[in-house]
Amino acid sequence: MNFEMTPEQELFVGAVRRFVREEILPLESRLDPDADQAPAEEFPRLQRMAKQMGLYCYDVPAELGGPGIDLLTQCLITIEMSQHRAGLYAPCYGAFGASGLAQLYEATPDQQERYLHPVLRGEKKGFFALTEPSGGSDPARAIRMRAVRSGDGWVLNGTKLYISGADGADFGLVFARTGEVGDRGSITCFIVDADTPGFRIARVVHTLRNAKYACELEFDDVRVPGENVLGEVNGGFEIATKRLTRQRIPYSAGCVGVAIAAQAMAISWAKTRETFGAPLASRQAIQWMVVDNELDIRQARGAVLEAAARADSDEPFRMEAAIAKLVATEAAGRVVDRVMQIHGGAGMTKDLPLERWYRELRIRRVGEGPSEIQRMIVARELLGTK
Amino acid sequence: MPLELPTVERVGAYTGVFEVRPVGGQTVLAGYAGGASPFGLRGELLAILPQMTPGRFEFRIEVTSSYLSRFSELRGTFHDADVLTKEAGPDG
Repeated sequence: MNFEMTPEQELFVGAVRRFVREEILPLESRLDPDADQAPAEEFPRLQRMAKQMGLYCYDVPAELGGPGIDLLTQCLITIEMSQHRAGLYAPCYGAFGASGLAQLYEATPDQQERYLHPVLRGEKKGFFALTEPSGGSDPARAIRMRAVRSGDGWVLNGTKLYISGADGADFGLVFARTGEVGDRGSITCFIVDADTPGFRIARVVHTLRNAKYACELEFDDVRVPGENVLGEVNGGFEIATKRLTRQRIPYSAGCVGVAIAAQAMAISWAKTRETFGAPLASRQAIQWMVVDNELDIRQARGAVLEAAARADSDEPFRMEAAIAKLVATEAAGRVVDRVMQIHGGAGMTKDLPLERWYRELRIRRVGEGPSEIQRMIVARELLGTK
Repeated sequence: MPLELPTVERVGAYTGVFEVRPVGGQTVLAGYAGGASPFGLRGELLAILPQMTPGRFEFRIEVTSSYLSRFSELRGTFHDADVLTKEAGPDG
């Protein structure tokens, strides 16, 4: 596949690269090494610049008020946006906005008015609650939360675990069982307002991501009106997997960006750091690590862009998204690990972004479907197995 | 522990979170020592010590590398209590 950038893509990529270099990196040098928010007094200016670039909410479709940029270009932009310390989970500290919960693109006009548009305007926050203590990778069997019809609505009971952003959110997309265990066609997605009686955050769970915690949620006879069913009753599995598959591609692009930034650090350090009277760059052990990094980065970038291009061309892309996710998350982890090795003691410290990337990239091999699930998806596609 | 120079000087220069309250009272100050905090928790507590009347306040610390998310949790806990919160570190 030819991934030579179009003039428009070059324009976007160049603008974001300058933004990261001239605005984000100097700002970041003044922040806590684990910060994921820009200071309140700086953020409006950054957001204004993103809007001037025409890239605000760059992953939102045109019909919903976004710039309507194709997925391939989104990935190229994401690769640039993530090349700084906070870039994996807070690219450019959120200056480019967020699509919020893409599952809401499938919502009714009334639901979009009440939930999606306020999210896109930055007025509301939502969370995505699929995983439970019984698991997250196999929702057809793992989901124990039950939703039972009551009058013209539903009553939800159960627990969700490792839910990001639930504390302080206004609503959530909550997946519950409306039929038999093991049946993909027996899961329904509900939009649950966070102030609904019976809903509570049972505890917070601290993770490798220092700046954000996950939550355990409890639903005790939570009543949800019928108009808050997202999509069809028993159609929740399709809603969850359809968007998750697509989201895996830009998710992987962020990993590529971090790997590129780490590789740049390795090359710079190897050229300047001397041991035993010669620069590290002259040592074969270091050269091979840098070469292995380059192989990992190029394979990952190619896999991500190929998946994005297939999605843009309306071809099936489930396998390509799985390959991109698998290759990019694992490759980026290896790259950062090697760059830490090249940096020696400095690589272990919070003086450099490497230790943060190392921790956060480890999550990426599990988040949005672990590597093993991606392999299962590819195997099913290749072998036609279930 | 009493918020006084001898006890604060014994605190390690770790990353983590801290809370300060009047002796036997409610928390009035929460903060953290992050990766950019000079001398960690000890440095942050030493920085607030001059503002506190000796003998009237006590403090507790938690040493954790998850200082930001733990600090967010503490802030959430006291969200409705009109509590003075302090953000330590370079922007504090």
